[in-house]
Amino acid sequence: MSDHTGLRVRDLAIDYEGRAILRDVNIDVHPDEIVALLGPSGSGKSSLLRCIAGVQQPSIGVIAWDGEDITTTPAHRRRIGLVFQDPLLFPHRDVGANIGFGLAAEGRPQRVAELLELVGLAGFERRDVATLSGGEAQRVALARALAPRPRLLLLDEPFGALDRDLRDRLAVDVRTLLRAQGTPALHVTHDREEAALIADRVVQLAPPTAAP
Amino acid sequence: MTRSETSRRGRTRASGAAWAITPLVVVGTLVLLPVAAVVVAGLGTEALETILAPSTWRIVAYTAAQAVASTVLSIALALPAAYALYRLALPARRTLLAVVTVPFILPTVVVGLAFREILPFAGTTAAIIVAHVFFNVGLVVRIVGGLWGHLDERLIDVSRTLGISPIRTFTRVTLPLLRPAILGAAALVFLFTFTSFGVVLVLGDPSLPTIEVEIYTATAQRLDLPAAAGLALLQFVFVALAVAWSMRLQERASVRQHLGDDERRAPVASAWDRACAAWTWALAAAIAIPLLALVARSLRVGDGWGLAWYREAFSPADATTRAASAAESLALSLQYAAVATLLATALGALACAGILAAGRRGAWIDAALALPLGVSSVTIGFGLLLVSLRGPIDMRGSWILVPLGQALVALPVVIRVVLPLLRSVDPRMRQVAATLGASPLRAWWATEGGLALRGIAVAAGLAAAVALGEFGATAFLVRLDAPTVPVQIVRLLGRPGEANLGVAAVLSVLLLVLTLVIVGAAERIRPRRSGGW
Repeated sequence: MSDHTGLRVRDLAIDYEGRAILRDVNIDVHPDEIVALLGPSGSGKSSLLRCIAGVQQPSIGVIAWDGEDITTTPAHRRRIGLVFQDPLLFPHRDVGANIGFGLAAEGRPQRVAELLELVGLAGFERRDVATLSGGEAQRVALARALAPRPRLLLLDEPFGALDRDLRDRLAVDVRTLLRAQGTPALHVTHDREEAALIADRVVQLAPPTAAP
Repeated sequence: MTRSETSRRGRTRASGAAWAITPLVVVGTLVLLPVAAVVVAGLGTEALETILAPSTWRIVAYTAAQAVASTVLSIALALPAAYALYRLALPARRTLLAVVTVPFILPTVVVGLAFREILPFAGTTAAIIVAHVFFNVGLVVRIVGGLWGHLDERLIDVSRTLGISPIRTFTRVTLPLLRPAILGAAALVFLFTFTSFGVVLVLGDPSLPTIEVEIYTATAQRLDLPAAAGLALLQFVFVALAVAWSMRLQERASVRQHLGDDERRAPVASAWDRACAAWTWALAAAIAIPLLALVARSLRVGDGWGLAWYREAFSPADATTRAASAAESLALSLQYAAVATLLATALGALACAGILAAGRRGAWIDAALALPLGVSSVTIGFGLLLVSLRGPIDMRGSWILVPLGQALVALPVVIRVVLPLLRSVDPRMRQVAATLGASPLRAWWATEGGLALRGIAVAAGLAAAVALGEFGATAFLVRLDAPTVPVQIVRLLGRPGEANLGVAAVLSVLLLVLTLVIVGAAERIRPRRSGGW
């Protein structure tokens, strides 16, 4: 009973400590598109991504992929990648081992080299992650998330910590990269320009109660 | 003292060094004296014969094996509790944490007796290991939990979204990030269990001595001082090797990682969470049971219950059954502990002042002064005994030896409490206070002075608890006709009859209550977020 509708979020609600942070969220991401999700900070965008990735449970609602309900599927079986605002590289592993973290041993070095090439960091395999610049670290984080070929990539303000110039360049790079890999993405940001640069379609996330 | 040394921070190195040297020489001499006595005696020909004897190496191997088993078990049993107590929003969390960590400060012979009451296999290696785990599981929970609570949970989320199962995420992300804390805790537990004495003496298999027990029997029963010295030297070498090795391991395992400022504890969600929470409750119950059994033992008279042993304990001494009444040995213990507390606190404060004044080189002195922690109370007691017998001044049987030994055992605890407190004070705080119009004295009092005095009060409380329950060093130094409470307990256990056991239980309960009251009071005045122990 599978179709090719990609991600479908229906009537999702999230509560935190008894308080509603999201209500009645409905979002679609088709398998061939990059969607930007706009919303002010504190509007629960991060929680929404965490629910889609499976590292948090929504209070109610349904998350489906290609028509299959994955709301209760554990995160590691969803094949949905997640990139945070901070690179969150594993500090006890080098760049190559970070990118290869989600890969089986077979073919790992080739895939790692391929991704490093794609994010413009060819030859960085043995570098200590502590020596990377902010932009480099975020590229490695992106490569790590793409390495296991996720069926959807979630980006949670991935350039929020970088300066404007670098942010714009990376936004274009990321779009090219996602297109090259054929990976659909849901990109959360509060920056309209960034959304326009990266996405095919922009969706506005409404806060649970209308702002005064 | 803190004022004089910190105000000199930033001045010439020479004046700092001068300030550092005087207190450190005083404290260093006292700490190194017993060790030096052991080393000198241990290098004699007779002692070397003991060191080379195969029987000695069997003892060493047994000591190390039980310590390794105790360490591995302590770590394994503590990890789920560390997770539950530091990552989950458990109901009654503070109470659970207090119960799990309380055994660490309890007197060893009291715990030994408590386990003798409830373990069907008392008198075996397994019994020793159970008691060692009881003592150290809380220490591991605190050290590992302290790091675990601050790990960035999003690293776990990243791993999960890369397709890694929860179990493999634990082994590939969580464990490696916790490794420095786990290795640090393991090194401490190994030291404590390798040099454990009271527990092994009370609970162990008499035919399988550890190094400590053998040093004691060689000294007290066979009167073979050279053999004891050889063993003590050997023990000292092994402890030093273990410390050096663990420091190297920890250095290699350390990872620079971003840690959250606050512990954020998540609600109990998964089956794993529930299992870890249940495990923590079970652990707390397992810790409470022997202590409750001890209280029950002190109240059980024949087939019924009553206060007969309490009356018996406080009746005047009877030469045929006991050397002293409970009241006498309790009074004596309190006197010794009072002197030891004064000594340990004064020496510890001096040492802290010296370490801070010495600046960066202070780290080495810090490590050197922590030596008694690794050297073991038995070596301290035995070393002081050698000094009193062979030193330039004849101090044979002098009462001061007992509190001195206890003070040296308690010294690392004092330093570990006071030093982090003093280090945590930003010198700029005093300057801010001064710009706000405070007089220099007031400014000092509002910043370092107040903190230092509180730290010293906490340290004094812990030192008093250590001194009261101290057995390893005291056993070597105490006069036969004037036993402290722990020594008296062990002596009573060596005698047959229900009355002796009952009175030993009464003394243990008294010591237990006293220790809990003192440590409870000390923890109440401890400044929050002070670090250290």
